[in-house]
Amino acid sequence: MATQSSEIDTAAAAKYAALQREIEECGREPGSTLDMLHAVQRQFGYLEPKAVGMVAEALGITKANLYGVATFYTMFFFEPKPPVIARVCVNLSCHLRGAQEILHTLEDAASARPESFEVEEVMCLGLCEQAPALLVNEVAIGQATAKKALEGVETAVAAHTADG
Amino acid sequence: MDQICLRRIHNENSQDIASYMAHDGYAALRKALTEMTPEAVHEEVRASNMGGRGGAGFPTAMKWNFLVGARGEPKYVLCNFDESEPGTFSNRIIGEEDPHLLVEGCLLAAYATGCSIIFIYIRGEYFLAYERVKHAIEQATEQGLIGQNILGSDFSVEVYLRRGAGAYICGEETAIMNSLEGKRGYPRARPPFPANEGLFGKPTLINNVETLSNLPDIVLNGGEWWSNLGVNEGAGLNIYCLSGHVERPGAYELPMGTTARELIYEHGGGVWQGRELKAWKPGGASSAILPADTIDLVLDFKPVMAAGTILGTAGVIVMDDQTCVVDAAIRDAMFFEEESCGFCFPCRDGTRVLRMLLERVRHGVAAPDTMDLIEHASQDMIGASFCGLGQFAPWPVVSTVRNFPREYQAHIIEKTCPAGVCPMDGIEPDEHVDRRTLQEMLVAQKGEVLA
Repeated sequence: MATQSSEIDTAAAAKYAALQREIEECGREPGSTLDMLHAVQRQFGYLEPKAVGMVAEALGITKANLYGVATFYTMFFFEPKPPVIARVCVNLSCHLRGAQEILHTLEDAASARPESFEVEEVMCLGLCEQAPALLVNEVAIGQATAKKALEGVETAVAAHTADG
Repeated sequence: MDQICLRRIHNENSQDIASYMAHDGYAALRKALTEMTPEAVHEEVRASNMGGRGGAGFPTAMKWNFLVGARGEPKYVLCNFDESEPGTFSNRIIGEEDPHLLVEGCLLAAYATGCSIIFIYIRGEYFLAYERVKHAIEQATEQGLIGQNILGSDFSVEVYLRRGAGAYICGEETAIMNSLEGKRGYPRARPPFPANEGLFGKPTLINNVETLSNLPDIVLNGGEWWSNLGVNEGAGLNIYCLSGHVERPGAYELPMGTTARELIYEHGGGVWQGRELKAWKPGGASSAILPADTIDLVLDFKPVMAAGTILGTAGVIVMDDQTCVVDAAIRDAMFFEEESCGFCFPCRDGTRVLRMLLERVRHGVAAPDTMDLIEHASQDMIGASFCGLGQFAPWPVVSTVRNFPREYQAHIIEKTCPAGVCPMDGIEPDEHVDRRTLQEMLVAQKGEVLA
C-alpha cells in the first residue's frame, strides 16, 4: 500500500510541476487566463482545486475570483470526469439529419459504463456540412450514424485503457 | 468558384507554409511592405466595398477608419475566430486547411491600421484548427514574417493565439474582449467603441476570419477587381455554408449576391431524397425561417434585410417538406436559452419563455393565445435586450409563427402535428410558464428595484 500511494504522489507531483511550467510559459503573454485553465484541465481532466489555486496565484487574483470566471465557460469541468467525453451536437443542422438517435444511443451505452465515458448534449460544433456530427474528446466525427458514433467512442475508450 | 479563401484548401499539405508560398502565399504581405503605404492598403479595401463577414456586414474600410484616428498604444488587431453560429463553418475550414491565409490577412490588417499586437481568439471546440493556426504562427515566425522589422521594413508585430472555452456570446465584439482579459464573457456597453477603448482599454480592430482572409487577394489584385466578382450589386465573393436537408452540404465560395435558388439547387444539388423544399434560413440560428416561395432571394446583406431577416454569417439551412416548423424552431430556442449569458433579463428570461411556450405547443397543451404570447415576448426581447444575442434570438421562433400560422393552429387548436414529428401526447411539461408578458415582468422588476 505504501509504495502504491507514493507512486500516486509522484505522479501527482509530476502533473503539478508540468502545470507550473505551462503557467509560467503562458504568464509571459497577456490574455492567457483561459489558456491556463485549459492547461489545468489537460493535466487533471477537470479544474482540480489545488491547480486552480496555482493559476490564481500566477494571475495575482483570488481563487474565488478565478472560479467566478471559469464557471461562465461550458467546456470547463469542476469535478473529475471519465477519460472520454462525447460531445453530440443537437442544433438544427444536425437535428435535421438524425442527431437525436445518436444522442440516445450513446446515452444508453454510457449509462451502462459511466466510468468509461460520458455524453454531453452540446451546441453547434461548426461541423454542419458533416451533420450529424460529434466530438469524441478532440476528434471530430462527421456523417455520423449511431453505429459509427459508438465505434468512435469505443476506440477512444480502448486507447485510453491501453495507455493505462 | 472557390477562387479566394477556399482556392488552396485541396492542395497537398495546404496548411504548410511551403505549400502556401508555392501558391502566392505571403506575396501580398511582401507587396504591401515593400511597395505600399498603410494608406494604400486601406484604399484598396475601401475600393473593394467589402462588408464584414462576421454577420453584421459593416463596411470593413470604415471600421478601419475609426482605428486610424484613435489614440493610444499599443493598438490591437483582434481576429474573431469564435465561430459558433449554428449552420456556420467557413472559418473552421480556413483555419484547418489554409491557416497561413488567415495569418497573412491579420498581418495586412495590422500594417494598414498601425497595430503592433495581434490576438486570434479561436473557439475552444476547434481543436484541429487551433493546432493548425498555432503551427502556422510558429512557421511564419521562423521565416521572419512575424516579429521585428518584417521583411526588412519598419513594421513589427507580435501574434498571440488564444482559446475560448465554450460560450457563443464571446463572438460578440465586446464580450470577446472581456473573455480575452480573463473575465466572464459578458457584453459591454457601447460607447466606448472598441476602436477607441477596446482590449485592455486600448484601440482595437475586431475583424472576422473570413474578412481578414480576403485581404491578401485584395492587396494583390486590387479592391476594384475583388469588388467586381460579386453579382446582383454584391461586392466580392462570399462563403455560403450550406447544411440541413440538402444533397451536397458544404462551403461554397460564390459571388456575393448569388440567389438562394442557385446555391441550394445548382451547387447544393437540391433538397435531399428528391423531396420538396418547405423552409430555409439564410444566416444561421439568428435568422428568421423563411417559406419556400422566398427561394429567389438575393443572398446579400441588404436584400435579405429587406426580406425581413438577416444574411448574418450566410449559414444557409435547408428544411424539406417532412419537417415540422415547431420542431425546427425549438432547436434554435434551445440554443439561445443555453447560450444567453444571463447578463440582461429580457434575454435570459425571454429565451426561456420562448422555449417553454414551444415545448407546450409540441406536447399539444399550449394555451389558445400562445401565438400572441410568442409575438409579445419576441417584441419585448427585440426592444429590450442589451446585445445582439437577445435582439436576434426571437427571430427564428416568431418567424415560424408568422410564416406558418396554420401549422401552429393545427398544434394548438386541433392538437395535431401535420408533419407527425411532435409528441402531441397531452403531457404538461414540468416547468411552469409565466403567462405574464416580458413587458409586465420588466415593469414588475423595475417596481421592485424602486421599492
